[in-house]
Amino acid sequence: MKSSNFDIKSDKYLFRIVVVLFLFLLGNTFRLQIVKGDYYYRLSENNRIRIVPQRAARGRILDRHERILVDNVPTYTISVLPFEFEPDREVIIRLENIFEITPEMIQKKLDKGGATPYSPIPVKRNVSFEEVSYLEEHILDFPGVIYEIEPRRSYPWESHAAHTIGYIGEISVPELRELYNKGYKAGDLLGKIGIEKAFDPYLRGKDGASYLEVRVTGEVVGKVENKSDIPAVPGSDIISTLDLYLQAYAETLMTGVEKGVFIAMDPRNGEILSIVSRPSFNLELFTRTISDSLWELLNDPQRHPLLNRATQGTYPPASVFKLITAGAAVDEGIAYGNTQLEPCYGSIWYGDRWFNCWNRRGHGNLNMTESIAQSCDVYFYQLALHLGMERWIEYSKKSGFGSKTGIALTPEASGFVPDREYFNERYGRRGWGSGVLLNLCIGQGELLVTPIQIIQYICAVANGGTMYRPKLVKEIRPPMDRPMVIQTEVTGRLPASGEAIRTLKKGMYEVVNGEKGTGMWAYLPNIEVAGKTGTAQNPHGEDHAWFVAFAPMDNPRIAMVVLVEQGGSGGVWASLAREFFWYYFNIYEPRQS
Amino acid sequence: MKRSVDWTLLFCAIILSMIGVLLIYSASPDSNLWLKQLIYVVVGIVLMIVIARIPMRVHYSLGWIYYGLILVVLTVALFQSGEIKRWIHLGPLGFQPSEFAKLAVVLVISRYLTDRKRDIEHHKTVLISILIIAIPFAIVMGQPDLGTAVVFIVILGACLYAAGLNELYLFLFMTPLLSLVSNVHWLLWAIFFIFLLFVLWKSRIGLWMFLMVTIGNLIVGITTPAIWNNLHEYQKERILVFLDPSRDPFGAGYQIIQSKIAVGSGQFWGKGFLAGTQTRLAFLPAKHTDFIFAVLAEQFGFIGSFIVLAIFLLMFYRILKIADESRNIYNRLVAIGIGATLFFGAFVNIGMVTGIMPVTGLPLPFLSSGGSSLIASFAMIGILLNIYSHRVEGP
Repeated sequence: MKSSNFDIKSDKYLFRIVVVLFLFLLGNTFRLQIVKGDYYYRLSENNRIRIVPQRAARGRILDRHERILVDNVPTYTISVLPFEFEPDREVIIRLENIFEITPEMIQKKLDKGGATPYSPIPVKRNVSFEEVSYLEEHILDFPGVIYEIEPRRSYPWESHAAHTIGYIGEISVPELRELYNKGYKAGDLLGKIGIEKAFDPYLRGKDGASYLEVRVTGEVVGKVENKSDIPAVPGSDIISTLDLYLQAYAETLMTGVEKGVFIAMDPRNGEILSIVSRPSFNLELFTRTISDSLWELLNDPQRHPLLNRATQGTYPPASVFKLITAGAAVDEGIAYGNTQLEPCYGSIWYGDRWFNCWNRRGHGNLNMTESIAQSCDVYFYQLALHLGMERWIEYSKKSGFGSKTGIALTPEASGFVPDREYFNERYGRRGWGSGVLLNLCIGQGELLVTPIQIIQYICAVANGGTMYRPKLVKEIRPPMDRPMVIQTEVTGRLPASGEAIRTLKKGMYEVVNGEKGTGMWAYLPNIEVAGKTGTAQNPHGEDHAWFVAFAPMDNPRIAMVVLVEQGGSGGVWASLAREFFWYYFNIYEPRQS
Repeated sequence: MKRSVDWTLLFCAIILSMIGVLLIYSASPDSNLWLKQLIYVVVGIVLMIVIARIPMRVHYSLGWIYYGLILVVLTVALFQSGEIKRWIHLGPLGFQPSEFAKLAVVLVISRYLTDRKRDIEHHKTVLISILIIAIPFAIVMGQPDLGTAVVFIVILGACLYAAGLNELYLFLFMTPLLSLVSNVHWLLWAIFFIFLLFVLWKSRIGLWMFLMVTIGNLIVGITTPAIWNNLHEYQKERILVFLDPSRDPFGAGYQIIQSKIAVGSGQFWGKGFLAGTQTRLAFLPAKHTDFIFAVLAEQFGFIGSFIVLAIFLLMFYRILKIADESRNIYNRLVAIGIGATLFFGAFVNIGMVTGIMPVTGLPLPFLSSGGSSLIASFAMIGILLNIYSHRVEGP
């Protein structure tokens, strides 16, 4: 360690540094004021610099084989430059008469804030070519009003997977407040639901700009010298997991359904191949101004067409949930595939009342496999009593129910798995008995699930127990960068041993192929289909129908769920599964190879 | 005891602040901003006179208390609700604690280095001085105010240099920054790092210093790309815009264009007082505060810019002279620290207005509108006057 004393250094060096740096500043001032002074003087006195944005094209959304689901078409937009806009009476009258732009419309846009005063604010989108030509010819009559070319969304398949693809719209005030720091500006378009929303940061590109020298009158003199344009960077394309053909086929199958859900998923990786939520809507509606009456229709409180029932709709799972109960019973050593319990006489007395089987004549002596196949309630009532509430809740929650799957679509409902605290609060500590569990074990009562949770569960059963996060997007492909592959995500394992899963699969096989199976309408001659029906009591009307299925039995390649609100018996909708699987194995798959 | 006043320094400060008032008036004659600024000037001068009479040993002994106090105030400001975390409000009055933090940091660093003057090259000295500035640096970065945060580093560098730390150590002190910059490509950084190891090996410095420098550089070198790749796109964009405003044509880029037009259009003689079209027409954002130099350059042209730069230069000459003549080590360090603070503010601000420096939001000392900066600057002059009048007193 060198011990240095406090040798006072001369500050000459420091002053020399200061002088050099000041000369540098002076030199730069000289360059601006003397060398280029005339140029800047001209800009300051007569002309202005106007920065015109070059709107970036939004990324496209493609299906798994890169067929277009969402594209762009160029359209014209009339915008106002807050800085140059001089709203005198004449200009306002002209704007209103010729373009139907009222002062209120402009004020509303300006009040949103969040934009710098030099960036144009779109006031009217989808303007016709005639209107734009008129503006171009009479530009001097409209100081501070310009037109821009903006890419507009186009949806060639209109209402196909509408909720999942999503639509875009102008940023709202609360959205702007939240996203301002992330580079969003007033007047920006952003995804409101679906993939358009979830992947908005990738889909939106980066606007470029060109610098124009403009006379005070509004005439464009030309490009600003030494200022090259900043090119717009288009947004990334999104390669979704959806398959256009499977989607279209599913849409056709669901045409007659007023309210319902269809999801097809690959059980090997959780990729969603088709997803339908009905009622649907035409995405093209959102590319132009929506009238009030149409908006009312879209927000109809009875039909809720904008609600994505696949992820936001919650329903009692009914007999589909018997699979969870059965799996738990096997792993807890209560019963196995061939275990017979007390025979079913159509109902069972428990506590202070009768609990009925859906088949009031009774199923007689059944083992577990047969009980799944025939969906015997009495058998599962007995399992419930052996299993007890705590264990049933644990198995249900570990199977993914009561919590979100984490699919990219937001908001997502979590469904509901009731527990002791809930019942204590609802009915009082002594106000309820184990009877509630009997209902829960057959998927009735307070239990609520979403179709996406059900398909995640069915896929896990099909693939031997791996729970995948439902996947909608395979790849994000930036225009000039390496593509970003979205990894398949395993969220957990089903709380079920190999034996439990084999039992469930056997039961589901019998549902479709067994002599008395409730889902025999899903039967296909060449393919071994396994399924489960569900018929959920609906206090407001006819029962909701469920059918879940996967195929083939060994190494399943496809799983599906169909839910039809007020669809009656689940068994009826098994035929829809047959048609879908028939298409999948006989038309779709051969075409892939 | 010889008591005298450095009139040159005093007049430089007062003339600059009066020019500031005039410019603020010319930027918007209809508002009362100029009147407020005039009041701040008076308050600043009074404070300057008071401070000039407080013996330096008082500041010396209170160094850590100033430091602790300002840290508390900065932290309070940071944890208040709302977007703007730079201001503290006391009733109707608001002020920016970070402006006063600069002076507090100068005083505390000078005191620390004076106390450890014999061990200036000991690794512990350097490490603790870095720690002293690291705390306010981190808080101010959280505001977020990168410009002011960097001032603390400049103060430390200047004081270490003035305290006699040799050039090699100063270079080593700067190396983490070089590591950061060279990280634009990993190969460049690797070359830099090898060069650094070579220098360290050749210079035969102590083991502790060797470890500190290599580990510090390794950490910066390895974490920078990791942090960068984990930033959101919009966060990266903000940093890139900071370095190159033209990337954001509707924000910082536009400000710079308009600022350059205002400066350039002044030409040689300027457009004349109150005749500036750019600044008057509100084309220029933040014209009273950060872009006040553009207001000057447009109205008074190259001549006006030259005169103001010359006054600043004279001021820095005097400050360095005061430092040079002072025989007290603590006083000398304080003078150099203050000089570095004011110089950095002036250089970065004028550089920004003329488009060669990033948009940092550092005010131009004495000229920019705003009480905190102005009063803090006058307080610094007060201390310099004090040092000058006691320059013959030894340590």
